[in-house]
Amino acid sequence: MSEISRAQPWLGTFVEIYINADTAQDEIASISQAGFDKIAHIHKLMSYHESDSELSKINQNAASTKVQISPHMQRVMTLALDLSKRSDGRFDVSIAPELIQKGYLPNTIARPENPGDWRDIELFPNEIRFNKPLLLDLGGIAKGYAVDLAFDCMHEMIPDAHQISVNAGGDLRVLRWEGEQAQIKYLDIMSRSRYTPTPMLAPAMASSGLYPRGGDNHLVFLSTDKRKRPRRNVITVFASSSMMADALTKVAYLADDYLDLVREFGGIALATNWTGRAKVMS
Amino acid sequence: MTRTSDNVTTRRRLLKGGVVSALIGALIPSGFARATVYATADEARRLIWGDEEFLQIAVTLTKDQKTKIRKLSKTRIYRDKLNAYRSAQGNWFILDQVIGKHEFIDLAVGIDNTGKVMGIEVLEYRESYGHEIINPKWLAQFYGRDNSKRLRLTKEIKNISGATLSCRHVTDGINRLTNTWDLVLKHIEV
Repeated sequence: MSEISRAQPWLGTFVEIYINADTAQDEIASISQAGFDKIAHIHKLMSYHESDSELSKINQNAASTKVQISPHMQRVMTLALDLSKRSDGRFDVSIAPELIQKGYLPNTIARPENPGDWRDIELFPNEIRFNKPLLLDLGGIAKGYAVDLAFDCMHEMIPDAHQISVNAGGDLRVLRWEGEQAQIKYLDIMSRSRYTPTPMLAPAMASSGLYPRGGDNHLVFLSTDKRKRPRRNVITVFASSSMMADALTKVAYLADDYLDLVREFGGIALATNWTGRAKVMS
Repeated sequence: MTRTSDNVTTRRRLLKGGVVSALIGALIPSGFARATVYATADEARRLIWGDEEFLQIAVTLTKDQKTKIRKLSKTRIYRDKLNAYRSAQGNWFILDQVIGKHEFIDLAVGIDNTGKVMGIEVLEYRESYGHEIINPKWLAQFYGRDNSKRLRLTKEIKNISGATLSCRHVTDGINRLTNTWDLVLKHIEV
């Protein structure tokens, strides 16, 4: 039996890959490398910060012309737009202009004056177009997608592994999740990081919360929005895939009244307060 | 008789050891909210460079070089001495440490003979509550320690979900190393 545990900086955070299998050490090392290669690939496609990413090209050109997109972008945008529609725009990947304004994203592409929103995005098979100038940021969903892609690739290479897990800064996917324990990171009253254990309730989990040391910038923006006061709870969503968990935590965090939507997609939402007590949201 | 006194001595020794480790335990580990160990330096070298053989090269940055690198990479330089290794092909393997506002990260970085980053492996990640970092004595224990050794206080916590940790300091650190390669390592004669 051999195992490997590695971490690399990708997607603006640290990505951990763990494999435990009855295979030679060299082989699990190269399987973990294949996993990281998938993560790197999605990083290069969906990074807002890299000027030659697929996302940057869409942001630069989609308002004036139809832009060809990869199957990966198609999948991510399909779920993103579906969630936007069903959450009446509470989940919205066209948030970049606001993030630029608040200083969370660099102003590398000129911020449009009156940016459009998710309703102005038209998705075709393999193409995308904006009907109004707008900018996309996939920070609320792409990490989850990258985790799924790396996980599926490694699982295919080693179907009988004892354990495979991928964790991109809290977007977690675990092969043998039944009986596994996870830790939810939260802040105590002194704003110190603490961990509270929870059983895994599905193969994937993701958390969202407002952290003074800089957490998910989407939430920082939206929670300073007048409609919503910041909350100290950490919201965790368990789901069948990491992309789903990643996106659904944003929905659950931002809109209590959309918890039905989380359930519709098969998600379970937990709220952890500053004392570390976690309870199922309903 | 002898046996009893031996026992007493052993017990005393154990007690002393216990007290000392409890004290160390009370003083140091509480500083970390999380510490995770990944690959060792040797494992990281193999992951990045396979079986290629490396030799340690003594590199000490001059004041002038440090200033230039600091300006180019816009990051602080904590150490003059590099923990760097070079292969016959001119590829580099560097063990480095990145210090963020709340975290200490041990890194292994592979830079090829054209200056391209070929791999980055996180060896160890320690996240602190923050208040110790302003204490230079506390900080000092992390500088220049041998990478093959590890602090005993590490405790791995698996399956963590919470706020996304930023890897900005690592990105800055890589920037510093590529600039170091360009200004210094590239010019070192084989």
